[in-house]
Amino acid sequence: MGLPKFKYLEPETIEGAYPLLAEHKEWAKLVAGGTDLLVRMNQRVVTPSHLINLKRIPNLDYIDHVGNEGLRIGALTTLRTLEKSEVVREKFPIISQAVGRVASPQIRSTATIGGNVCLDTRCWYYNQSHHWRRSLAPCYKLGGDCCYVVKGGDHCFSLFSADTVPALIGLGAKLRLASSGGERVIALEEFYTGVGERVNVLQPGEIVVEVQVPDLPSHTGGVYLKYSTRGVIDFPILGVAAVISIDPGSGACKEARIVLGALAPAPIRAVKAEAGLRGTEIKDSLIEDVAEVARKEAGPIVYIEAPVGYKRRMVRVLVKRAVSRALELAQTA
Amino acid sequence: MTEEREKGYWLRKRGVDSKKFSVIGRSLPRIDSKAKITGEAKYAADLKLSGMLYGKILRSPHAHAKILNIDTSNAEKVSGVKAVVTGKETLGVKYGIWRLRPEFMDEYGLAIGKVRFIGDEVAAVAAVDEETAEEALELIEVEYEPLPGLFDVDSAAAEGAPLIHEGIRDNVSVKRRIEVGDVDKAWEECDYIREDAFRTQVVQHTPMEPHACVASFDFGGKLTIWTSTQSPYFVQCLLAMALGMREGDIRVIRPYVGGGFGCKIEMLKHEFCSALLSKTTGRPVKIVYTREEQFIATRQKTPMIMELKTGVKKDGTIVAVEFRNTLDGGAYHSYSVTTTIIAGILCILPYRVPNYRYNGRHVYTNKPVTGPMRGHGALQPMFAFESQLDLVAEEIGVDPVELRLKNATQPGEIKIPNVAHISSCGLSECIEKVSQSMNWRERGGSLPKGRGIGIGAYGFFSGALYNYFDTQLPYNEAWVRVNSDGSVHYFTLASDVGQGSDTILCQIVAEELGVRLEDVNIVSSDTQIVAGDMGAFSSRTTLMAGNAAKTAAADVREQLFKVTANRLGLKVQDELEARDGRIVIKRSGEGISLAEAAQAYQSANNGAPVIGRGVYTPSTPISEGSVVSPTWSFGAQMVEVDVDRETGQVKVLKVATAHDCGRAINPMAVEGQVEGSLHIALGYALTEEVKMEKGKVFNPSLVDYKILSAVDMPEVESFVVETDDPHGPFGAKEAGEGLTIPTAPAVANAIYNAVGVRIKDLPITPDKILKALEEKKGR
Repeated sequence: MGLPKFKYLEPETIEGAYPLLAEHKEWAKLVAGGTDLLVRMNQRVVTPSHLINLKRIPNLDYIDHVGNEGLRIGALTTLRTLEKSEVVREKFPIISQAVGRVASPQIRSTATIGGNVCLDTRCWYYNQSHHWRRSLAPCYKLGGDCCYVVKGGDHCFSLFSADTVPALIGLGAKLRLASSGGERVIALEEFYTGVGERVNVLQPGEIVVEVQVPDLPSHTGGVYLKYSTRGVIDFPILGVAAVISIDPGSGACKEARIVLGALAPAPIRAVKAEAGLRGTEIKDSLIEDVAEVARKEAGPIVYIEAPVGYKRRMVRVLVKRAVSRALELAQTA
Repeated sequence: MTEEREKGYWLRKRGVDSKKFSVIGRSLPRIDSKAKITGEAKYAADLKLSGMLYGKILRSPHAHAKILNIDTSNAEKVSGVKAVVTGKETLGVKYGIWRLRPEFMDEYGLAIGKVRFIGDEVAAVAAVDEETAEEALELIEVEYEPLPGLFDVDSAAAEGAPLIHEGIRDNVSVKRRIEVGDVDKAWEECDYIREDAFRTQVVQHTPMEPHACVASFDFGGKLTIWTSTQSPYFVQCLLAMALGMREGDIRVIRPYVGGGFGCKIEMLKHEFCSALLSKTTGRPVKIVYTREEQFIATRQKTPMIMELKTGVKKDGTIVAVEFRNTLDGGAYHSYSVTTTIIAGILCILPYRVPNYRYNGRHVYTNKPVTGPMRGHGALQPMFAFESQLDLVAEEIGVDPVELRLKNATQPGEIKIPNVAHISSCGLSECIEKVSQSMNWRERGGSLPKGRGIGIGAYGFFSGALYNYFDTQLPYNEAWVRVNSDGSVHYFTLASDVGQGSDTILCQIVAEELGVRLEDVNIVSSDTQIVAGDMGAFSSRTTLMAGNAAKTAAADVREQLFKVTANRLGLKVQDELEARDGRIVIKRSGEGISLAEAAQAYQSANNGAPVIGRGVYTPSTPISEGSVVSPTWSFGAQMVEVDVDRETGQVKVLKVATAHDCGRAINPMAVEGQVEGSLHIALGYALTEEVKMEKGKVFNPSLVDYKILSAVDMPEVESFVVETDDPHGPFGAKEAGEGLTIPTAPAVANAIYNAVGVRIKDLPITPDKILKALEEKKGR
């Protein structure tokens, strides 16, 4: 099935995009790579009246790392460019690693980092064609009042599956958002609402223009583990990012971040598990305990991609493996 | 393939007399490869005719419902809509692939009276473009009275269950039984007996190219349809039946086909609807299925619920097997009677089973239709039986490889009297080959933790003989014309659907005529040229079309020998041979070119071209009593896996396969089949499952339905074992479907070997392994 009808707009500057957004409001959609949006348009999950293509806008495709000011990634940078970037590989290997697990090389050559952080949530019922959905009443995410994933559920339980985001949150990344009223910078972690019906806090008229990643302290290790059925072209059943910094003298953990992806409408920080690591020298038994804490922190788990009980167990296994690996990297850094 | 690689390849093969042949047995690139690689090849969805309309089909949202009323008036008013058809506009005749038995023909072109699954075809629209057709679909108002849906075989076959098809009691449409020896008595002779239950899942064929066709009626009332099909002949005949036409007035043309695997054998609804819409509008109508339609509205592989009882002697000799099988068939019959019976036959094909009883039944359910799929009827029972044999082997302390060697089918055996007789069989050698390749005897007992190796064996048809389609035609017909310029034209209806049969058949013709592969031009896609061929299924093409091609080529060669003999003044014909594009005297090498021979023939016959004809028509019983297939392929596979005990994830490290295909006409093509088979079969074993809830498929896309990717494929080693079968052209048997059979049990056996858990239901997903590991720990 082809795309539904829409009008196509192509601003040449970011300033040129604002009036278009103001004019068409929620009926317009921003598009860059289109690898997520166009699929949903094909399925008639979204049917915007206007598509505003950002890809003609110059100077939003860059990877800068200057001095101690951290990494700045322009929103229109393709995932493939990011994956291949030498400076990212050297200074932020966890980013290259997470980006390299998104979809396939072909899709990564088109998809952008801005688009990936703005990914919509998905589930087995919502992401279907309109023919498929015809026999069912609309779910919460489609403006209805039921959830098919959790029968009797009182809100949307769709999943946020972007691979890059747990890794970026693990690094303490921020987003720079621009609108006609000016700019603001927001922690990536706070960008997501946790509500499936409205995935992020992007305001009408706002555009994600940059991802900022602070430089890492020395002796920091980070890893993103993706659990999926296929080796490529697959959404994660579970994604776990762990970033750990240690004091090289005492060997104690100075900072730890554990982020769980694909379990809920937003990435989940396992803050209690992180707290369990901070300030101590991390032993294997502690990792086991912390993994169990993270499992409890994961909250309710739904049957999408794999059975609930199994996914819950995998949280423990993957957190354990991610923390062990990140620690190893921190120790050898 | 480079020359060295070709040479190296041969070093691994056995018993090939490459001097004997010039074209046969060579790893030549496929004749369609350049067209496919460059994009020059056109598929049905690429076709555009002048004035062409686009069709879309309205499907039932209910699993089971009465149709009370259909109102198409609003849809017809949409600007650009040229026709809307429903069951009312059809002849209301039932059709089906089992033409021999009307009770198995249960499908209408468009639903009449009721719908039986979510996706059942209710109406169709033709419009100037797809969007308009889509818009019109939304405006068709159908009033349904929902009926109770039956989603599993137990509730469908329960007494008093609503009937899915009128007159089919308990929704059981087929019951079949096989009885060999005396099973009841045989149990007493066994030292060890065990019973197990196994289940398999629904999978879909997922050809790369979804179904597509363009149908065009001319003003003389004759129909031409270009369609992505495995059987132009079946489409032709079943369209004739459903439209009330003469078969000869329907012309089916098969463009390049991007795979079928069984879901493009029968005439399907897009073909019927596009033809009906074209008849109504007088314009060509194209219908291209979405991936979703291809999942729900074509065919799926039949899930089976299987109970197996096997008894053996202490030394592992199989004494008796009893197999009870229930097929969850979905809403319509399709090939189910075939599936039911061949599951019973193929279960014991690789082994000597002196006493055997099979009871199979097929049950209708309100789910998408199941039908044949690559390895038809064999993957399910062989998953069960090969898994159980490993369980037996462990219990009696016999090595699983030795157990199989002890019981392996040998040439000359009668598997099932008057049903399956074995003319050639290299199974024992295949088992030895894969066992050596994996170094099983040395490594088997000392693998690293989490590693395991498992084996599976199999046998499969080389073409089905039983005339269920009730055809008057030969199973294949071939014409070979040698032109006055030395080129060769070969006409057949044998369908190349991606498996490479065009290349194989041209190699056969080239060999017979002593010409190069590139001298042979094939036409294999048009029912209006040569009519006789049933299609590409049941692994029949190499053997059946190959035999007809060989006969036709030999026929034309003999005619050219005659004129050459006159020309050269010879009196004894058999001193001639055709080689290197010439017809020469064997002894002296003196002769004329094939072109000159053809010219001489034409000069002597008022310009008439020289044409050879050949048919393959099975007589019953053929093959010393085999009425199911002329002959059977055999093989064995070993799989090495690494199982992650914490996650249950399985990594397939290496797979070794040895296949007895009689003779490899093209070893590279056989190797391609080995690797392709492994892709489909590993998915079946580990990841693929059409997930349904109350008859609704909720993963009808390649995102959510998990066919494996290239990076998931293991290291592959393949061996060809040649047995020179008396029934095959140049001794060749099948090499396409049988190869998919051993993988699921070999993987299951390898997992057991690795971590000691036995999974009896497919697919073997990580959560099942983890659960079993935990249960084992708890015991």
